[in-house]
Amino acid sequence: MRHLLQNSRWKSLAFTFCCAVIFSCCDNTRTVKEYEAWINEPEQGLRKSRDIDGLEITLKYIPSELLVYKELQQEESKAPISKDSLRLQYKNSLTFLMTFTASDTSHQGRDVMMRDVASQQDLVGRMMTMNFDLGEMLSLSTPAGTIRPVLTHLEGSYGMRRERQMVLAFTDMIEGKRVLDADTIDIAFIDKVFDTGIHHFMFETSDLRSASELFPSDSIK
Amino acid sequence: MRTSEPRGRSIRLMALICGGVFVMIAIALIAGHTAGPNIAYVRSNDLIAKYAGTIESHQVAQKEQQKWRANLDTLHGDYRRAVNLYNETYAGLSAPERKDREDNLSRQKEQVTSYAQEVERLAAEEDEKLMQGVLSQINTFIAAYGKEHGYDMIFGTTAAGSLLYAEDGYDITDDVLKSLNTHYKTSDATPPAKQ
Repeated sequence: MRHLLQNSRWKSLAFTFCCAVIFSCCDNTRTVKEYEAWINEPEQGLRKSRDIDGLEITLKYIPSELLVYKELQQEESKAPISKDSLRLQYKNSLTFLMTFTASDTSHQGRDVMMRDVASQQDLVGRMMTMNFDLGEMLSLSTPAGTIRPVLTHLEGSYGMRRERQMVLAFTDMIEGKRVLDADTIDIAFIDKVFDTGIHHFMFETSDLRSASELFPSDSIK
Repeated sequence: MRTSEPRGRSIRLMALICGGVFVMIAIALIAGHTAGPNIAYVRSNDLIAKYAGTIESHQVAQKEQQKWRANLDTLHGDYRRAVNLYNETYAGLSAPERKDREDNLSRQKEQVTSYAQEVERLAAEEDEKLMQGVLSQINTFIAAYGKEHGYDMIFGTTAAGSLLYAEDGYDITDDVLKSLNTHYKTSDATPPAKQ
């Protein structure tokens, strides 16, 4: 009887251990920090880059859930804001982060804005172009048609950083058809800022959809 | 005593195999040192002309220039209409009126000419900028392609004759062009690895 009891205890311990191993393997929950690192993994297809003559141009998809989370974090100290209203605000748009980085640090000052700049006038012209004309250089295409971004915003204009980031937002509809219903989307950038030609960033929409599904939703309180 | 003979045979066989492998490695190393650099060339003009980035850049430039040329056509049209009107009403105009109208026409013509020159200058500038981007893309790609495929040097032939002769086997233009055009549309960060 004692032997039987001992045996069953071992069995239950082994069962518990197996369950713990299985659940820890299957557990998809991750923190927002881990999620952001996951987005940057090349195999996820959410970040595309081009390296031309020492300039790296990266385009990264930012799921609306992550935008809502970030905004809620920022708004915490200010007036309370409804997460539902924020969700509604971001629901009908596709947001990307475009980054220009001087991958070749031999360029003047290492700051990407100083790349091939000959005078102060050139630098001012570049700043103006990045602030006001970038939308005309960008387009999003699917078989349904082509659209321009509804919003472009240059971040940290006066920061002491090597890179510059632009937030781009497109509507999620083209000619009455949802952008994410297409198989792929092509974001074209005609670079008139650094004159590195035309760049195509192709995204699989299945990757974009799964990014939203895998967001740790319980992190939005 | 019976078992030691097959054992000795297997030891001899092992020694023979090891010796063979050693000789093969040595030959490979010597061949690697004496084979010389891995060289290839591309026909630069063909590569540039058939690159999807070049074709699209020309299309974009043409589209932009069409807008400017449409403005220029409007200015030309306005000027022609003003000249026709002047000719039609010439007989009924007094001398000071004629002078006034002629001065106006002259100013209008100057404006059209200066706008046409500005359009030509902008078009040339736009073309040059886009081609500069195309060449940067091709050069960056070829550098990465060369590294990926183990080339020590890749020459570019030009009409000016930087490379006077090479066997066809050294011509990798078609392979480079295929990879370059695939890379242009797929936005992979590096060129495809050697098959």
